[in-house]
Amino acid sequence: MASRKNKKPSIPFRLNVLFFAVFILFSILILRLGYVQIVEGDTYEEDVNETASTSASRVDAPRGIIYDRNGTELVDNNLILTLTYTNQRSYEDEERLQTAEELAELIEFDEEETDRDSMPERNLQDYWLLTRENEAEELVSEKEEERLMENDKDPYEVQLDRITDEQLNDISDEELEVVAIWSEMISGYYDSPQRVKRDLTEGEATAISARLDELEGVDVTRDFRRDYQYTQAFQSLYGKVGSIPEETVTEFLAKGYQRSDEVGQSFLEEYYEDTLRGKKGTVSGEDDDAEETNNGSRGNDLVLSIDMDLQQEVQTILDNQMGQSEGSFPNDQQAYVTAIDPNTGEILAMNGYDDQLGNVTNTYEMGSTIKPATGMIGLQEEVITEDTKINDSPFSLPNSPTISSSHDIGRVNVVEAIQESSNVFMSEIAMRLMDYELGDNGFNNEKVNEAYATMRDYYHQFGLGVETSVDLPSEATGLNAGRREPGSLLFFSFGQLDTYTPLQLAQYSATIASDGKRMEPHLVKEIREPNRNTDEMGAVLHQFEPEMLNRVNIDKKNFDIAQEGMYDVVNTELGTADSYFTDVNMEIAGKTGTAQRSVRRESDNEVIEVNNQTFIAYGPYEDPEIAIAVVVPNTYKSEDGGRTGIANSIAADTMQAYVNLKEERPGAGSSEDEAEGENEEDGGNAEDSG
Amino acid sequence: MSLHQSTEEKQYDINMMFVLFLFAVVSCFYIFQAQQLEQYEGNFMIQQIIFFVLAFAIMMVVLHFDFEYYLVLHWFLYAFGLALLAGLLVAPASIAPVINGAQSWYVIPGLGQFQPAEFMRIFLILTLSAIIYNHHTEYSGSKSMRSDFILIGKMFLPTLPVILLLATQPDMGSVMLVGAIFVSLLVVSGISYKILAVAIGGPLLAILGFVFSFFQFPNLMERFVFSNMDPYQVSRIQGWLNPFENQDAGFQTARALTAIGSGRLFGNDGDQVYIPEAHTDFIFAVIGSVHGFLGGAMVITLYFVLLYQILLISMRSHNAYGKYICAGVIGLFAFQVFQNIGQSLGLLPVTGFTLPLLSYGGSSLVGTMFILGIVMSVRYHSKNYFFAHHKNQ
Repeated sequence: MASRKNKKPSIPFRLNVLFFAVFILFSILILRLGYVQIVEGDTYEEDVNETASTSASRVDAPRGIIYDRNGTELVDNNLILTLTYTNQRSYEDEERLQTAEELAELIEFDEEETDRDSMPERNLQDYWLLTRENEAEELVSEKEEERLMENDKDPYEVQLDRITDEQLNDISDEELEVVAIWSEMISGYYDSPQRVKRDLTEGEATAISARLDELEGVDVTRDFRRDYQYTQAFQSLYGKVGSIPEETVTEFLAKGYQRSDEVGQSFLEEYYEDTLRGKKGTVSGEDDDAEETNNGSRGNDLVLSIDMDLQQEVQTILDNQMGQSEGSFPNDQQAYVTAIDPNTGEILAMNGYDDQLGNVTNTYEMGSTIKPATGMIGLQEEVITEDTKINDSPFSLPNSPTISSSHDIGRVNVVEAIQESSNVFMSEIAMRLMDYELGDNGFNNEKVNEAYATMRDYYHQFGLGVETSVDLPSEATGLNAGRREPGSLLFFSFGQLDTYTPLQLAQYSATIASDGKRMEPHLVKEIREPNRNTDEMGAVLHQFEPEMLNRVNIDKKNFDIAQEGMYDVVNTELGTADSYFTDVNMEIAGKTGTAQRSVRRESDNEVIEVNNQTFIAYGPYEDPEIAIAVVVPNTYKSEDGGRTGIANSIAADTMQAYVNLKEERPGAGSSEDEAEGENEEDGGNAEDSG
Repeated sequence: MSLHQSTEEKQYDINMMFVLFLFAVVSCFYIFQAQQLEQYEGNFMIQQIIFFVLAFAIMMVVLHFDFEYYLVLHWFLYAFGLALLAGLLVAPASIAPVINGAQSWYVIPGLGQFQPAEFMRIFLILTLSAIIYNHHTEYSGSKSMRSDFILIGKMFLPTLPVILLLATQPDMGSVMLVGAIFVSLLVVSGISYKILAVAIGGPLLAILGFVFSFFQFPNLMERFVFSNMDPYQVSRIQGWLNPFENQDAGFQTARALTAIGSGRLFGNDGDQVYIPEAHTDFIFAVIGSVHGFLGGAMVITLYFVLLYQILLISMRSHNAYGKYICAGVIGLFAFQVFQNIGQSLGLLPVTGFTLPLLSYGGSSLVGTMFILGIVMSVRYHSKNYFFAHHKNQ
């Protein structure tokens, strides 16, 4: 250990060097701490005080109002009184129980909530354990409790398990209301008010207010309840307002929300949460602005692009048509309609039977409605010309099902192929894209891949299989089946491979109508400032300008050809939907679709063949104002007793309803888009050609 | 002075134990404060008291184990630690789950979870110290540039696999920590200052240059640097240098800064600021918020005092091995404290270190006290030569 001596002089010095570095680091920390707290502290403190002053308030400010495009009020707020309970750690279980018992005498709960069978069993069990202490102790002996603790098990859970139904029935019917109130009271977070009962009657409110001093943690506050109009036609798209979902609590707390706040949980209410949310008022009354002290201010208002009159009409049409075709569905009856202004992307109506959400969340094989696109792909990729004629008769690829149209159509060109819906013609385009001729030995693998990619890419440009960018959360994009065997490409060409949402189909329809401009669809047209005078809308805060997502990479002349085919579908004798539109007072182009698939019948679990009926249409033909897509999924085939042409009828009725509404409204076709909101008297007109 | 004058002092370091006791009190107090925040339901403070008692007990055991045995044992310990780290690579997800995107923990049913990196740090200090010690025994008197490079090479060899294993987890925080240990031991190892200047100055300049360019030439950085990095790393850096404009990545930093800033000089009175992970990684934000600059500075000073006590032990020890160990521990703690407080203050990116001795958590506490046990053992088992330390100063 002699070496130690040599080293000794240098180590302590170097230790000091090291420690000096530590000193520097720590000095930096202290300096930075001082900078943050003393120099910049003002700013941070203000930040905190801002949130703190709002946290003194007890009530949410009202959310924004929602109007339709004509200024009709769709969603408003009702002022109600709400009973809240602010739970605190320091309260004893018995205190809470006593409060609940006293409240039970003062308020009346909905029968549904006090019903023994619909009440969560856990609530009853918790209550039972709390109120029947002696019996509860018998469930788990002390010795056993110790053993459970050692094994890291919660004796309470074991107790819960062991409560018999008989013992639970020991809870009398009178007690049930106490259980309901008590479970509501403790279901919130500590120190933040939890709504126990909304919409108190005046009598209840007075009774509670008189005894507020005795009831610890209880308060009666002003609150707002969303009042949704036209719920039959539009309910699900409004979305829901409710307490903050557990998984997003952090996010909302960071934005300055409180745990007890209510937020938009789905669809429009969720998507436009930041806009609709009211600015909180303070109850403390320290604020100078008297207006603020009371209420805070209402959130901003939304003006939808939806025409509620049309929306209602379409709903009636759906109800009628579904009523006429009751036997046509193996499972639930479903039908979807979306109408878009092809010039702006504004959604004029979005209907569903009996749920509007399916338009954005459900995906289906759309069948022959896709043919105009396939025809255009063939023309644009120059595998066919306008004059190419193909003989429509059944054929099949090796190891693939036979391909045929509904009947043998004979020799057709592309316009006629769309008009009469030729599967064979579309398959020929697909085969030429993958460089295959009937009778060839084998496929060129590379070409097959290329063909899949090319077709999908064009479909995507129309909005099929990609996000439509609609202003709703949880939009589905459909199933991309990927690259399959060559034979499937043929089925792909007439819409029987990938699946799409009804909204995507509507965007596709609108994109054809506008010669390839894919517009962003939206449900909200404007954001407006809240106006205290409830009869008028406030000033426009933000206007959603029409936005083009992309232009389809197909020449105008090819669009013209496909549009001619679609015109013939509706307006010529050979067209597949000729008979349906004779009564509609507008020149319309359209395309039918039927996709065959199998589905499990819920009543007997048998797998049966069904059709998805679809229809796309737009009009007026020369200068389109409205483009629609109709999807009626899973109907019986006609040979099994299913009604055919349901989608066609819905489309025709919808177009007629649009025309009727337009005629009813004075000043149609003349006013500017912007002028609508301000001029409610003259009804405004959304559907002008722009 | 002669060798047989030595006596075994066998003394507990009462001062340090008192400081540790203060830490225990401070820790429990602020954890209690943290759990008053809205997001907490459980009672962590009681748990933490139990952890402290346990950790103290472990420290007392380690303390009585003569540190010079580590000169013999260190390779076994090193191999053991490395095996644990390597084991994470092959262990099934049931015992080595991916937590927060990294596979850094063993979860043993019934026992809890532990992080092998926590122990690897200790073993690495023991090993590197032994390497330096043995090197100087071997090359006594013949110190040259060449021998210096040999030493660096010998130190680097066992460090490299540790760094590689930690980087694959990935646990960049621990990689930096290992770097800090390596550098502090390099400083005291006695190698030429010229080499030292290059070895430390180089990386330091690189970091400063990076931060400077981030603010001065954002476009160039975007084009040449960020486009070649993982998105999560970019977001960490954005969140660090620009917390309020990158609310997603800089969310924790922004909240911590707001909480600390609102504390002002003496702490804010009762206004709660939401801080994520307030009882573990961001306990310092609670301290700064509740007791302001005064509280924050006191805590930093307390760490400084603790490090000073370790320095004293190192200075007074007459066993060079003990000195090296203490130097490594100083580097380890200083970096951990600087990193953790620095991330709360927006000085450094968020890495997920605990604040030693204050953050809630049994694994980190036991690890810390284990190291302090070794340091105390250096003091307890040092054969003291009276007056010797006076001569050295």
